[in-house]
Amino acid sequence: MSKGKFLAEFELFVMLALARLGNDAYGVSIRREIESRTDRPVSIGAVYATLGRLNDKGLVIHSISLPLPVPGGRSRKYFQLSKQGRRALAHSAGMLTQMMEGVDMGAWSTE
Amino acid sequence: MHRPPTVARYIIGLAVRGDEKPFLMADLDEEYESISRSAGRRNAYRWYWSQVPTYSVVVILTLTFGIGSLAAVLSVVHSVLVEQLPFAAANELVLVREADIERGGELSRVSPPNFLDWRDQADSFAELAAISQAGVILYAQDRAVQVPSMYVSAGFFPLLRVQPLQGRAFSRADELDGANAVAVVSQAFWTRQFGNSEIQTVTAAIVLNDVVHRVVGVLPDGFRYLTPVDVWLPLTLGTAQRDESMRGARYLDVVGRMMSGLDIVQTQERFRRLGEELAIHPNNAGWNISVTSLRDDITADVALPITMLAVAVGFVVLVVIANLMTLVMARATRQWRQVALKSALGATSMRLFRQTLVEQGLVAAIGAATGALLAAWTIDILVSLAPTSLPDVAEVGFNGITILVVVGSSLAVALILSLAAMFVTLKLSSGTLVRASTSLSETRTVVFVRNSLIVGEIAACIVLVIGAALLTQSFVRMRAVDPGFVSKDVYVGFVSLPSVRYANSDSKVAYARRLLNALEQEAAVSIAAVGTNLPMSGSSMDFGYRIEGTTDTQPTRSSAQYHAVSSAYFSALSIPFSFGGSFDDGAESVPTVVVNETLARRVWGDQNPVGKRITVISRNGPTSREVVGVIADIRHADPTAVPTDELYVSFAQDPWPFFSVVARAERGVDEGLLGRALDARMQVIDSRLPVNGIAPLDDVVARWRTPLRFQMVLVGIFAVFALSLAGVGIYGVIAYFVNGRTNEIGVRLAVGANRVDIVKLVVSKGLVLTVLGLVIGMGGAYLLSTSIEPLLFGVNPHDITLYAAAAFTVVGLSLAASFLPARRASMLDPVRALRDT
Repeated sequence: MSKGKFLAEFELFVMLALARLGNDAYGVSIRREIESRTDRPVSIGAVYATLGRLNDKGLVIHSISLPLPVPGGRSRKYFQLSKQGRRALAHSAGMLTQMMEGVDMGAWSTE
Repeated sequence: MHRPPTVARYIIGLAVRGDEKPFLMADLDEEYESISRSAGRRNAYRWYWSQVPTYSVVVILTLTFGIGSLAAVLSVVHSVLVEQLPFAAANELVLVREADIERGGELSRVSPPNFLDWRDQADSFAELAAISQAGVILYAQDRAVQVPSMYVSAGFFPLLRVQPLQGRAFSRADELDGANAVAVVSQAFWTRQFGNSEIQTVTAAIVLNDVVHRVVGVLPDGFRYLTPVDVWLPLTLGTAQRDESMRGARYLDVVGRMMSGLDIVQTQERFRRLGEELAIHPNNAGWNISVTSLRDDITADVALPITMLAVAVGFVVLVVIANLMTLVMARATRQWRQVALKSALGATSMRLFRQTLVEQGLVAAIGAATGALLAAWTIDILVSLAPTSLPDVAEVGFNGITILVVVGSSLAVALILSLAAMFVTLKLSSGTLVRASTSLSETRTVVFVRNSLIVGEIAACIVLVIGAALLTQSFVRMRAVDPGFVSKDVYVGFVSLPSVRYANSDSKVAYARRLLNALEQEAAVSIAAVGTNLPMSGSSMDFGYRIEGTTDTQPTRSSAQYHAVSSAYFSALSIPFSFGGSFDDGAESVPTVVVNETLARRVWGDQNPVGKRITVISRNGPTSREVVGVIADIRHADPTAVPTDELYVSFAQDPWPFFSVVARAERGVDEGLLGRALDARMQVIDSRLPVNGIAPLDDVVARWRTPLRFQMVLVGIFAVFALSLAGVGIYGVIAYFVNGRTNEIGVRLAVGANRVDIVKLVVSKGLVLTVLGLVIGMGGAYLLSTSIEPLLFGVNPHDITLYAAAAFTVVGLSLAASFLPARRASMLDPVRALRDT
């Protein structure tokens, strides 16, 4: 299902989180973003695995920060959507919106 | 700031590879700190553990169970079946018994005159000592307690090569009538009674059975012969015991030490010749002497169940290894791209292998550590299977063997798994790096190995399932056996009357009467009785009898289980009469006897035996007795025992110093109340008698099923575990098959195959492997189940319905495991399937 041009649900979530977080997207912040918005537990390992897959597909790029200015401070790996990634996200999101058009989701969620 | 859980951190570290690792770990640490600040340390801990990947948890749990059960079972196997008994030159020790040739060599204890003759005449080829088990009552601080004790002949301690720590052992003079009352005690007993004082045996005295005994020796700490004992007393071999009439009274255990240089066959041959010489005594006619190695004798009953468990664990380990190999191989295939890249960048195979080995080694080490914990905990439970008479088994624990097994198996696991991973990598690398960019398809050899592993898993699984089913069936059958008496609502207790205060028959009868009268006053008690040998309590007495008035076709010699009971004994145990009734309490001077159906049928056929006479030859010599009743057969020895001849005489006519009390509860009375009433009444009648073994008869009976239940539960757990692993294995292989065939399935769908065809295609793939495994496994189970036949009860080890049911279970599991990937395959969109692959 995760093959080809379609994005799996979790891939979509990660990409949307990247889009939201802009320059501040790394493991911790991505995890928090998805967890707080979807209200479902997310493991950092799963985030990394998905980022790895997206990287293989060329949808994300990453940069490594300088060590934090504290003793023993560490580097972070920041992720961003690539050009191709932004296109894929727009494509997927667009399709999703089109599919949802006219469906009364509100009525369902109160069921 | 405190650190995240080390173990979890470790496991996550193992699961993550490559360049991501430092960043991921640092992210985890950061989040851990933040959660711990906001929600507290406990929540942070829990959160961190939730980050451990399921794959790692599955691998580690699998290893834990595999290594843990292997280590536990092998530790017990080693100490029970391999290790020597804890005596000097223990391989020279034998048990010597009398063998009843007429009854097919049935073994019996030894009579005192025979023991004395053996001791004198066998001294050129064996040292011998006699033992008689007995409960001894110790009086200390106004309280009477039963002390585990043993009567032993003079040669006992020298034979076992044990020197008293202080003082002396027994001499032959101690065996004679009128010798001073002396005792040898265990170190633990000495410390309890006399503190840490140096032994002054002249002054150290204890009151045993109402007689002051001088303690003449203290044995080294931890010494025991078969059962733990506190007090050893000299076995009396005086005039009474030497009397020729005692030659048929076989109640001694005889332990021997073969002269060095002799083996058991040679020793047996010498004893056989001695036995033939001694057969001149009328009571020895038809008897000879049998020699068994002490070790074999002790382990005889447990060797098979323990071996069975070891084999079962072997199958579990096979399943574990096969399963982990398939997991590792699948992972190696997925990660092949990464490895191929490294390889292209110049990493040698050896370096890659070393890296894999380290990785697998770490996983195995964690599994081994948790497995060791599991073993340490389960060994104690396993030991309950072993016989209590096995020295040191109670102390089997986490020992050198356990550690050896744990370390050895984890190394083996690491090596096997690394080889499996390398095998896949090398097979794939034999192609070119270009292939890394195309979709993964495994080589034929890799597929073959994976399929073989699954077939092996299924085969091992079916063996375990059939084993568990056979044991469960046996347990159910055994529980359904009607023992012939009703143990429900019955409490029992054990009484042992010391010979000083209860010297003659009248005093023993009087005690029993007072006790029964007192119990009948109790509201909780409906019927109370006494009897010398309760069913399934492990005790029995055997005496001879003769039929009067018939001379033809009677066997030359007959013996039967002998009981002395009060008249209410049968009603207390709800044993029905088929003819006549119990003894008449009012006419106790008339010698009467109650027999069981087996004896009545054998002697009198279908006739009513009431009024016939038999001569019972008990310890007081022959007495002519009138049959007053015939009871239905009961299973005396254990639930599987075939009823044998039984004789019951009135306790008033033959009072023994040791007997059991049986009390049936009034309807609706709480059992605990009954037990307390029994305890209280026994205390009141003679406060200087210890109250022993008060327990529901149900518990006494259930004890016989404990080993079988234990085997059933253990093999059952193994089977369920193996089944779930095999299920995961099948699922993995089929899911992989579907992934690899996405293209082919797409083509089939495109050319008009319907969804059902696809499900059939995929499921049949799993089914072929399953059926292959079933055939191999059923063959193995057929062969193996024959060897566990002695452990089974009322079930044919080759029961076809049972095999079929087991096969259905495994096939069902396989269908379920392959249905999920099959359904996914059938849902494929043919256009996408063709485009994406």
